[in-house]
This record gives sequence, structure tokens and C-alpha cells, in this order.
Amino acid sequence: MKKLNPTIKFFIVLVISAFIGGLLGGSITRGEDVILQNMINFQNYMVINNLLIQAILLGLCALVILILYFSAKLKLKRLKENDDILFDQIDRQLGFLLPFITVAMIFGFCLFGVTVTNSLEGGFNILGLIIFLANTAFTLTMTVLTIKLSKVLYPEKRGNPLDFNFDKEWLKSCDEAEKFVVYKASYRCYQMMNFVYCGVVTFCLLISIAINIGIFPYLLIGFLWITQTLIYSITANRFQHGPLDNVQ
Amino acid sequence: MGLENRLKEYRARDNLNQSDLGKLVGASRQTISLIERGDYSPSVILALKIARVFGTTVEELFLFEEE
Repeated sequence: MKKLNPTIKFFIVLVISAFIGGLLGGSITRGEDVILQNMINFQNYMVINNLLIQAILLGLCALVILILYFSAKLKLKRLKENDDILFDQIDRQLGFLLPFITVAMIFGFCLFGVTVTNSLEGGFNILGLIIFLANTAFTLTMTVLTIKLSKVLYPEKRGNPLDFNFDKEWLKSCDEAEKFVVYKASYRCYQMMNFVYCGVVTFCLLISIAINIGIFPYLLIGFLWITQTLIYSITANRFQHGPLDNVQ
Repeated sequence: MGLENRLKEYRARDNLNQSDLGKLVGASRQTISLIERGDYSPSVILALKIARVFGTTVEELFLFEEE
């Protein structure tokens, strides 16, 4: 099949998106009450069950983290010098565990945000704060322990996760292929986040038809989007006109 | 464009495993594995370091073919 000209393709996608947007906007206007009711129901559910959700979700995350951590630790004890298969297994496990711990920490922050918002209506619940603090302490401890475990696997790695310069130190101790992986993943993240911001703004616009969500979602997304774009552009520009410092 | 290499052959000759070679050139075992599989093209410096370990030239170790 003949490939479409990118410009024509762009305009076709634009027209289809506008059509879908119009359709969704129209549907939202018609189903305004239903959407509003569902949003209120969802918010009430979160408000009433916030502590339970916080305890169950963060408890489950903690359980998964502990299982993965101790399983990796046991495998590391069994690891012999030329066992490449087990080495790769542990490497993959640790590669999953670290971001999972970060996600658990982010969950903790978001759910604590709900607790604080609830406190405006029904008084502050100290249990929410305790769960939040416990989760933060747990995830921080597990991050430190997991990085220690990674250092057993890769003794050349440097940096203390509690140090503010940890990322710099860690990257410095990576070899060129590992750095290449970091750069590729970072660029992919930058690309994807542009779509995510666009999607979230569209979602907010559509929801705004039914509910008044205020100006803060737009200001917040705008701030994050501009910050990301500026950091990327300024850093890229600096590296294009200065030393890349890629000599190992 | 393809970059092939004779790393495995030279490692076997000198009885070195991937970790040992990695330590000698300041790279991780994974990086050596990636280079060997042809999934990563090393920098000039790393290629020179590897060639130096085996007492040969970069051209002997890495074969570049333009398609």
C-alpha cells in the first residue's frame, strides 16, 4: 500500500480528532447530569473510603515490594560467577522493583492529598498522616536497600540514594552503554509526556463542559508542560554548543 | 550498515569471560554482551580499549560492512 504524505496524514488526523472532540463534547453536553453524578459519586467514594483505600493499596504495594526484594536478595546469595541467566533474572527483578517503589511513594502522596482535602470538610484524620508517613519511610528505606542490592550486582556503581547528588553520582558510574539506555529512555519519556499533557488538557476541556473544575488544573498542566519543554530545550542547546563530556 | 565483531572468538582465545573483559575495559558485563550480540556499537575509546586488551587492532575486532 502506498504511504500517505505526512502533511496529508497530519491534516486527516487533525480533522478526525476535531470530529471525535466535537462528538464527545456534544455527548457530554447531553449527558451532563449523568457525568456530574458519576463524578460526585466517585469523589464521595474516595472521601468516605480514603483511609481504607490508602491502607489496602499501600499495604499491597508494600507486600509486593518485600516479596520482590527478598526474592532478589536470595537469588543474589545463590549467584555464582558465570551464571549469566540468574544474573539477568536478578537484574530484571531489580529493574522492576525500583520504579515500583517510586510508584508506591507517589500513590502515598496522592492519597495523602485526598486526606488533606477531606480534612477541609470533616476535620483532619491523624490516621491518614500516620499511613502517609509510614509509607514514605518504608519506600525510602526500600529504595536505599534496593540500591545497595544493585551495588552488590554492579560493584562499580556509586552514590548514596539519600544524597541530593545521587543521580549525578550514579550516572557518572554508569558505562557508555548504560548511559545510552538512560538517554534513550529519558527522550522516550519526554516524547510520551508531550502526548500525556495534551491528552490531560483535552480531558479537562471535555470535563469542563459538564463540571466547573476551576482554573488550577490548566495552570498546573501548563506549568509542568512549559517547565519540561524549557528544561529539555535549554539542556539540549547547552550540550549542542558546549562539551558533551562523553569521554570515559 | 552493519557492525560485526570477533569479540567472542578473542575472548575464548584468551580464556576471558564477559565480566573479566568488562572489568579490564571499565564496562559492565551487559555492555560487553550487547556489543558481542551486535546490539550496541561501542565508542572509539571503548573499541580501542577492547582491542588493546587483546593486543590487536580495532579493524581486526570490528568488521564494518556498508549495505
